[in-house]
Amino acid sequence: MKKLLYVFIATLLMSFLLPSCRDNPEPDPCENGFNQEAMFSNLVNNLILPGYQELEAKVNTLANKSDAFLNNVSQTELDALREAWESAYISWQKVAQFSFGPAGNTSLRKHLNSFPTNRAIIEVNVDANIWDFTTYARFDKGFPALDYIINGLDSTDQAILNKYNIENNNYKTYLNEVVTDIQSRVQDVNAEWRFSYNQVFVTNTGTAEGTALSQIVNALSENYELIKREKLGVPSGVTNLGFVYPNRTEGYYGKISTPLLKQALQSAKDFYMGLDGPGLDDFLIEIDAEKEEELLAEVIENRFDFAINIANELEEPLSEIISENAQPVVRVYNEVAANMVPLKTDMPSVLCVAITYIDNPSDSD
Amino acid sequence: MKFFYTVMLFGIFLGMAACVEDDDSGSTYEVPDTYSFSPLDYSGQVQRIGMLYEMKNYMASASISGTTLDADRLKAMFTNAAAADFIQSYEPTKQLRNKTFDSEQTHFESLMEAIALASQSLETATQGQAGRITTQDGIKTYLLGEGGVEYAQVIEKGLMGACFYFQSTAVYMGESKMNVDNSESDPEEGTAMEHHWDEAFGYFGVPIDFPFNTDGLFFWGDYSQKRNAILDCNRKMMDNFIRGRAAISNNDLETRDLMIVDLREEWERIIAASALHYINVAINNFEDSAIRMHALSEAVAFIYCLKFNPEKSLTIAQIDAFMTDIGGSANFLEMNLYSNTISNLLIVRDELAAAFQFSSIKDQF
Repeated sequence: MKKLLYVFIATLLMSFLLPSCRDNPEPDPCENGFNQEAMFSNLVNNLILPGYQELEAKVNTLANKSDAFLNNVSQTELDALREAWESAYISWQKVAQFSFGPAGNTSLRKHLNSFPTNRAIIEVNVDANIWDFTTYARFDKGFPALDYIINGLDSTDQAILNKYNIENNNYKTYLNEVVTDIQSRVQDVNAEWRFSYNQVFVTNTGTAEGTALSQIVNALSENYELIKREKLGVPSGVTNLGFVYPNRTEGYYGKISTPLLKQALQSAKDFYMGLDGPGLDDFLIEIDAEKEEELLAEVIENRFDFAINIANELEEPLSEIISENAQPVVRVYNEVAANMVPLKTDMPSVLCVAITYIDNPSDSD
Repeated sequence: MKFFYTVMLFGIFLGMAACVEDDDSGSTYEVPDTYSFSPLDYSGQVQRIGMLYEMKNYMASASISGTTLDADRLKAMFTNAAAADFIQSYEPTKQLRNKTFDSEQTHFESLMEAIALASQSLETATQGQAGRITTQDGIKTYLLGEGGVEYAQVIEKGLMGACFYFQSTAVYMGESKMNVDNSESDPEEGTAMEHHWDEAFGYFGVPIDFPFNTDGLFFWGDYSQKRNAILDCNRKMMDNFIRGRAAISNNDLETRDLMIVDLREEWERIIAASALHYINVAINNFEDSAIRMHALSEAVAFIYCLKFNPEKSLTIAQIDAFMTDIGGSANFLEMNLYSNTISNLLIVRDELAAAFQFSSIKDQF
């Protein structure tokens, strides 16, 4: 029995001596003086509420431009519609990551931005003049569907305009309903955040599943993982043994994948930092969390910056870069991937939060 | 607080167990968290996965009526001949056919002829008539043979079993590949034993940091991920592969052999659970012939895969009986999937679940 105890103590000691297996134990970070409410309040007031407010305004403009286009199918109105679409799509990148609360309950991300869109199904829908926007499973709605029907219906603008210039044209109805669906979903989520959920969220402290901390840590990680896979990994072939899919980039027909990517990366960093106010970085500093003898807060911030800087070197649409040589996009992928362990393992661990989202990389059955 | 420390100590003890292993001599060695061994080379497996991926995509292209498949091209893809017209280039010595279980090789070629023939049909698939059929929600279209078998599924899943799973669990984990030199280390491949283990791992189709990272899941990796919520198989499979490889590098063959037993068992559970999942899909969507035929094709293909594990839980006769219960034959070419009823599927489902100790969770898959 005594021998067993010695073995136990010896192995226990060894576990401390093996640095590659386990870092030195930190002071208990689950009990700390960090003011969670102040952080949540900052995130809500400076990122979430303004983000949804901006998106709603942009989507309302989009609806107006869509109406104007439908009343007067012309190059001028088409250009204005495209501009409004791009602007709203960029605003969406800022709030896509807030996938909890009202947006989580309504699956806002899947309804607004399931891509690549399924043009075959859209054509079937339009032909039959039947569709069902209560489900996102068809990949026939949201910003990606708009991308196809305002940018990708044909190879020239004149040919696209011709498609809308036919009497009793179902494309017109389709465009109108895709926009209306986006608009009503955004309005609902924005209203719920403004009028009720913001208080619920800010006071939902603690570390258990369902708390605001757990929600933001999970959402930040999940969204970053989606940026990595959907915006970068799939089209550039990293996830497909090098088979490239330029047409699976976001905003493919309108060729705006690069600005969408840049905005998404910057917004992820803003979310982490809480802009200039209290954010997850401050929380990590407060508890002196370290990774390989550096401050974890700085490791994460630096890796966000690396990814942003590499992405900022890109100018052409991702689809065009990939068609020529996927390597520049793969480099961004690698920089984003480099932040996954800190975001998905190190940070949740020191903040005593569990990663609970289920990673679902495949939609095949 | 006392409770917390107890938990913490226990946690350290567990953490240590995961990273240090005793070998025969009483010394310890480190087991990494990921499959990050060096040297490491399973490029042959990656190439075969690539070939099956291209074959799968080619077959899927025929879900559109009017798109016909060329049997000779499929056979060329099987043998990596020039007529395969692969997108990527593969070493001429690497192919799927000569790694597929001997007596099944010609069977797959017959299936390739069958799918090519079926692809010429312009009819809607129905009993006795090959053709395409679309799900009631309009989302998916499948190409079926006259007995309702979706040949694309039985070829793809069948090769996952008769080639990848067979090679990994029977060939590379088998005596002839495991009782080999483990002292002379090739700078690219490690020792012969290490290399064979890495090749066994390569057929699982996951990144080295799976399941943390799910970018780049192929075939079995994808199905492990799909069954993980219930089986917790991702972690088990990875831990066993990693521990086995670390054991080999430290000449701990006892642990290696334990890992082989566990891997064969866990992999088989993934397959059985996948078959049960698809039987459930067929039962739950019985009124939709397209979903039913697709799901039953998947189900019989996964059941067929069960044959190729050297320590399988069922006999070949039992596996054939399960296939016959669903298809009226154990031969994909002679099956008629249309004759099933909900009650006969429930019986098959329950018996199959019982054979793998899944009875209590058979509805959940």
